[in-house]
Amino acid sequence: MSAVLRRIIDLGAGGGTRPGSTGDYRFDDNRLYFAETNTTWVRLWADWPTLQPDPARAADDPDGQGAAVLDALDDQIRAANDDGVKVILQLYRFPLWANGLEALGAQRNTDAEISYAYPDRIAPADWARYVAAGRDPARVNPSRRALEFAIPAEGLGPDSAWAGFFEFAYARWHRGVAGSRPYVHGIELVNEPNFQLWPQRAPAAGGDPFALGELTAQASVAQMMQTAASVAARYGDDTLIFAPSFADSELGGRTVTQYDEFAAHLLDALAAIGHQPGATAVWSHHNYTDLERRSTDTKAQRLRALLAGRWTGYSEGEAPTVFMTEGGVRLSKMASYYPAEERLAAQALSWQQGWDRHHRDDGPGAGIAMLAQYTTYADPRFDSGLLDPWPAVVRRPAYAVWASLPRYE
Amino acid sequence: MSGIDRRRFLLAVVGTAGAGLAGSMDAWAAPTSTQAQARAATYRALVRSLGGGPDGRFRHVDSTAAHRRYRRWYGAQPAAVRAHADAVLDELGSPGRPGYAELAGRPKGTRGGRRGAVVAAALALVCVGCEPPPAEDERPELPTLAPA
Repeated sequence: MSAVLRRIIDLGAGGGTRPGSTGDYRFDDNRLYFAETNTTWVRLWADWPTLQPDPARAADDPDGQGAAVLDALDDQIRAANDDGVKVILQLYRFPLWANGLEALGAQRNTDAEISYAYPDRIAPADWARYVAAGRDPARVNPSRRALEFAIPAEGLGPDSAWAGFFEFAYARWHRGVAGSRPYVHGIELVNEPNFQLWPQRAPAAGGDPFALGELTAQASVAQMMQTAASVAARYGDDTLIFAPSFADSELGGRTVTQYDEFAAHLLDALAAIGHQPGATAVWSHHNYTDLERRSTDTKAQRLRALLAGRWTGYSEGEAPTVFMTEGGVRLSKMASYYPAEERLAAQALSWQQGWDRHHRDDGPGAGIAMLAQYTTYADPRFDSGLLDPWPAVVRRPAYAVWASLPRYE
Repeated sequence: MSGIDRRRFLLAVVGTAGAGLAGSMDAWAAPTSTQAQARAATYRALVRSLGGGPDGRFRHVDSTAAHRRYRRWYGAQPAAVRAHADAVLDELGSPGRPGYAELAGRPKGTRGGRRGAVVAAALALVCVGCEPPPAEDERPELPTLAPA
């Protein structure tokens, strides 16, 4: 048995972009669900474009467009504090004024926007369909990475706009303000940089725009981690800093880099800039596929093998230690992996077996300090919920499994 | 599995599912043509509201085509998701359909603010027909809309 296997519910970005929606910690019976299920951690989202849409106004400007959302986020964190639920605050996205894409933002859903940096934003098959439709967005509007995920050209160093936003967040919510203000136990720097951020890679040589070039995005993530550490040091370094929050997607190409390739390059990049993460730096990862596939040979342990002897950040028990800050079991995958099983039953079984595999000090559980569940109410378009989509309040079988698991702080 | 065999577990959770889902399944029934028409009208009205936004983000979207895409998506969803979609569109039926300003609003989200949650859910449904489909493994986000 693992001494400590914490559980977190990630409420999704909606609580930070549309307070009052189902991702809001205060919404409906969300607080009750945390209490009923003995869930001791919550992941809330601070969406930079929402909080600071105008660079001329600080994120905490009471007259700024983000003021109401900031108040709501404060109130959610305060509610979690009151409930004894620890908060990881996920910093999310870049405003277009920070990554230089404001002009394109005014042309969304036009060919100019869709075609911009298309090899780094669109999968080849989707691009081909768009071209075949005469590059007419009214006929085919291809899946693509949003403009808000473009890595700012100025970088993410100590003088960057991102450093300013991180310092705003750290100063406002670090643990040192406990007792006088809402506070968090951890701040997560970036979400799924190997899936969402673009570009991931340098242009490839040759004539194929979709060919894989050299991986480059790891340098940005390393810079984020270094910048965050330097800011945190000025405030007492009293709050956990989570990164890199990799997606465990099994896709590939220029838009998605597998976690193992990215991890190795990130460790190299940290070494190259001379940044040695300290005791408050937590390696975070996402975990859908190990749970969904009911894997015994897990991606999480392959990741730990890559980190062994190289990762210098937070550890407990057998190093290296990995926190899963997002994960769950998607119903869409149940239908495809286990067609003979009823989907909700398959979701519950996947969770029960996943817990049993990880709740131990060896095998798949070695070094795993947290497992994550994405959302309480199901997101109809990314359904791994413990309950049916609101306004239903039907607890699914997975809810009963989640509620049956032991409580760890 | 520990302490319980797989077959018994599956039987147990299927039983739980059946019992627990009774409420939501009962809540969803195949719509009458009148209900379907009303929901379609609401959906198209919401699309037109978005199309009037100041940044032109949705200016290219034809409300009928958007509703067609939505209907395809809706038809592929399980009952619980269809019940969700129906409930949201019913709650925003005429009168009381939100205009662009409300769709783009950034409500403070005080406790019990059901309307804000319904509008956010409606925006997500409208994006099914108006926004690019999510890539595999991608979570679609609600768009941050330009203020009215």
